[in-house]
Amino acid sequence: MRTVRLSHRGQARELRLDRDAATIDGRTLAIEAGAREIVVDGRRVRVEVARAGDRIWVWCEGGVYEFEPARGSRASASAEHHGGLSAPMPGRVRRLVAAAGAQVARGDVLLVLEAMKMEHAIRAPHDGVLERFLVAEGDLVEAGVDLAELSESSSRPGA
Amino acid sequence: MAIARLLIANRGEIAVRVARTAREMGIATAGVYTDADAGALHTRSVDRAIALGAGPPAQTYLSIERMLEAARESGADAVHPGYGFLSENSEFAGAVARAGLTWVGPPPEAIVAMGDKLRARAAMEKAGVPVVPGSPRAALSDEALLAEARRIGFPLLIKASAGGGGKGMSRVSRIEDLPGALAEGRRVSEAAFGDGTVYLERLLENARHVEIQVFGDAAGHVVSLFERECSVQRRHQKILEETPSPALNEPLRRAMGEAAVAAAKAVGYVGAGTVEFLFEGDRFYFLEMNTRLQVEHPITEETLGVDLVRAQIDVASGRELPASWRDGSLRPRGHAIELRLYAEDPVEFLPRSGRILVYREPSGPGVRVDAGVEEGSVVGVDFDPLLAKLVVSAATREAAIARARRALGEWIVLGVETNARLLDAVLASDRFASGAYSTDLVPQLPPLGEAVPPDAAWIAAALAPAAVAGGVAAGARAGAPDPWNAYPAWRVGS
Repeated sequence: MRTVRLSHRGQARELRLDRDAATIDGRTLAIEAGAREIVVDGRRVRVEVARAGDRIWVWCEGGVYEFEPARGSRASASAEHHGGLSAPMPGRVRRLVAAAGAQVARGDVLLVLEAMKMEHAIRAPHDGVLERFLVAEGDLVEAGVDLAELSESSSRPGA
Repeated sequence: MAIARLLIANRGEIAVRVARTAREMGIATAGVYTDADAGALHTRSVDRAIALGAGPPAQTYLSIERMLEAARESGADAVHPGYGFLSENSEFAGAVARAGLTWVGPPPEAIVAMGDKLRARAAMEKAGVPVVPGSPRAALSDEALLAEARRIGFPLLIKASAGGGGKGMSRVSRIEDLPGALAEGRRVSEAAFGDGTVYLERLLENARHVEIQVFGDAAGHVVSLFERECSVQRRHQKILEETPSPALNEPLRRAMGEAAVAAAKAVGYVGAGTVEFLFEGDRFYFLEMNTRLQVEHPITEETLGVDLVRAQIDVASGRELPASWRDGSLRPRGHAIELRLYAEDPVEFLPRSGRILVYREPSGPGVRVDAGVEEGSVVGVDFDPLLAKLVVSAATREAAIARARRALGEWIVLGVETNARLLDAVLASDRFASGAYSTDLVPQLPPLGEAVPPDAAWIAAALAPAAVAGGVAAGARAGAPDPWNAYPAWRVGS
């Protein structure tokens, strides 16, 4: 028996796997794994699986799903907690718009990414001070890379 | 003059597609690639691939000098530009001709006349082709454009005169927002096209986007090869096209075809071109002319049973259009739909990159795939996110929709997120099925939401063998310390 914790878009699940059964969220299903197919409780489902690093891609019944090992909930929440702003897409840093150290308001454009002939403005998710940029103009970034540090505005003691 | 060796000055699916026809015609092919594209599918679809070196598109696929060098190096006697990149660059078209090579495209003068959208609008008005109400060429200052905006009314669109593909275009609902939007439009246009000129156009909110494929030859014949319905768009760019358009009846189809032919003749057009119209109620307006082969050209090919690239090469070689095209006996048959598979998330349409780990194409009756990628391809961020096109044809529209969904369900792409889920949502929607839709179809779809994996997907992921070092599609390695090798037939990314 083996226990696997996986996450799909932030939703984590624990699976207990036996040779002929899998338990998900307390439900135990009979399984039988074959070549590019899997029989779940008697129903045969075509699947394709590929792995790159710790990412597991699954095609199943026409849908595509990207899994990763489930991390502690603290780890995934920390980036947001520290005011990190991550790239929503891969691309090149086209322009740094706001000035480091400046007070910015929610919705202000901080920088502009460009990918595949498309510009995408990265905006401040909340009021605060743009502590610093973590990238420079012309940098190539992957999706999910932190771009800047934005602190909560400390100039609102009454708030 | 017969073409012996064709340089295809492009990449991706269109380079592969052009090479196929050239091969069928017995023409040798040469292609180009950058360091980032080394080994890409299109470089292996040609007889000889010429390196353009390293660097962003501006220094490689968009460099006239570099492309002419590649033509010389390859020994080509003709150049096909595909779409995008240098395809609508009149300077390149002229330089190709001056180098003694055959340009598989329209005359440079026709590209210039249609490339400047403001000039094109004026020429169309003169030729009696209806245009969308908008600001004239003379209105350049904020002051003049503000006055024009009051005359045209809101909402309106700011458009780049040198532009296309939605770049530099923005919607303005209130006059207070106009100055800021004009400044932004000019900046984006200047950056993208080297020309910051913008103009205003009335926004037809519930319009359809219907285009006519035209074809001209050097003898002065210009014909309409019927319409393509292009209203399914996101970010002002098409993601699905069909022909015939469910919105056109025979008199409208004829009138639109005649207007398109008049538009092409007004600029002395030769070769394949597309005249785009906005269509609302029973009125249509000239939008722009694309002076090149269109991405969605295959649906025309499928319903007419023709090869537009072959016709381009024939016309460039000095041959006249086929008699059946000129005498009106060529008629469309059945229905065709094209789906554009983009490397982007299906909800926010943000580009995605990565390596394609598993790639399986649909097949079967009425299915054609024009792909620029294959298993192992790397999708980068410097190019258009179009991976491949699925083109289905069937006897009726209903059958074509069912076939498109069936084929889409067979298409397996792992490793890079695609917009497949959005394409299926469009095909499955009542509004698309009814045929009564406009360019707001995609924005009005119910939210897609997050994909929810079925139990089988979780189980399949959990059963996947542990990563092998360097492990892209590494497969279950024999002897690997993995308890799940107990499942002998389980393969990963093979």
